[in-house]
Amino acid sequence: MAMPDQELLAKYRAGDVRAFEELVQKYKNPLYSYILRTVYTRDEADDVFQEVWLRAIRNIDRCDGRKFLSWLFRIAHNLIIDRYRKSRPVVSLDEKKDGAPALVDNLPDKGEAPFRRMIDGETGATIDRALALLPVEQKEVFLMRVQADIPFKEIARIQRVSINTALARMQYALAKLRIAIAEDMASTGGGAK
Amino acid sequence: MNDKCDIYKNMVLLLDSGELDARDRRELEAHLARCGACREFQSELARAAGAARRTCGGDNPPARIEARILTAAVDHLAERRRRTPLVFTRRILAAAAALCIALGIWMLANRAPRSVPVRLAESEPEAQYEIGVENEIASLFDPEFDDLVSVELLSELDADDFTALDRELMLLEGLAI
Repeated sequence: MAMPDQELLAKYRAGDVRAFEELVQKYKNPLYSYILRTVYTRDEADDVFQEVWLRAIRNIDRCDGRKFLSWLFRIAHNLIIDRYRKSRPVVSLDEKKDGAPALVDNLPDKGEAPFRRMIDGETGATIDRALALLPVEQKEVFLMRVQADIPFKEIARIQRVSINTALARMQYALAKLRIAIAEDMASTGGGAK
Repeated sequence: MNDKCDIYKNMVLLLDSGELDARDRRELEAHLARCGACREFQSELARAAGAARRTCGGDNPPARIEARILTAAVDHLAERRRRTPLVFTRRILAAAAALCIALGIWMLANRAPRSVPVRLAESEPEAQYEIGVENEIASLFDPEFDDLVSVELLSELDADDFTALDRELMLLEGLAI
């Protein structure tokens, strides 16, 4: 049985580096996956991933380990937001521009349930392309929830929004993924059976 | 699907994350039994989550990044070890300083009160006798305390002393011949 994060942190603080290595092994996949899909390039993802852990090490005494993964995601979220602010403006599908309806308003209520038609072999590329189209805040909620299994209450804290906003973002993300996957399948011929 | 479906969809999300309480869960189950749209949303969530987990499951950082992180973790521990004795010494010094200050304050607060000699008043001579131990001896031998007597000390005086004191008192009160 895996050792709880609190114990691993305590062991690391007491001088056991292997305990820290165990934490890295435990969380590297959901964290890297989230970063990789939230920044623009793999090099950037590597930088952010490394910086998250370096910051965690520097501030290790501030974390009691009860919500270690949420803490890592909060560090990652802050780093990514900083990078977005410094580099490129975020285009949100929720924003209305020049009086035109927001892109999200054009989403139909009922889709064709494209998730149901997805075949395992083609899932990866399809969902990756669909995820890439999501605004960063919705993508974050989706990945934190689905990939890292972080509860909505924690996601809301990480994003500094209400839990209702986090839930709404997840609903938008699912709706947009449904559309994007349907379009992707139609254009690639996948699932058109 | 009705106007409340957005609320029930939120409940579906909270059920999936294990954040829905028992009462809301029962309400949601009752709604799902009669709402196809919300049931479809629930299945869609499960499929999307499954697809995303399969897709993202193989994402791992390069080994060189992991190695750098672990090196930083080792360095941090070494730095902590180097820092610890200094921090410990500082803490001991701070504790010792605090103890000295506390002791000084305690000594100031508890030092024997310096008796304030009270000069005899003509109307109530007995009530004005000074009781302070420190001054009792001094009052007998110090010329400055000539006009003072101690009640406690009176009990320790012998007959000759009493005679001398009586005379002193009478002199002070202007009764001596």
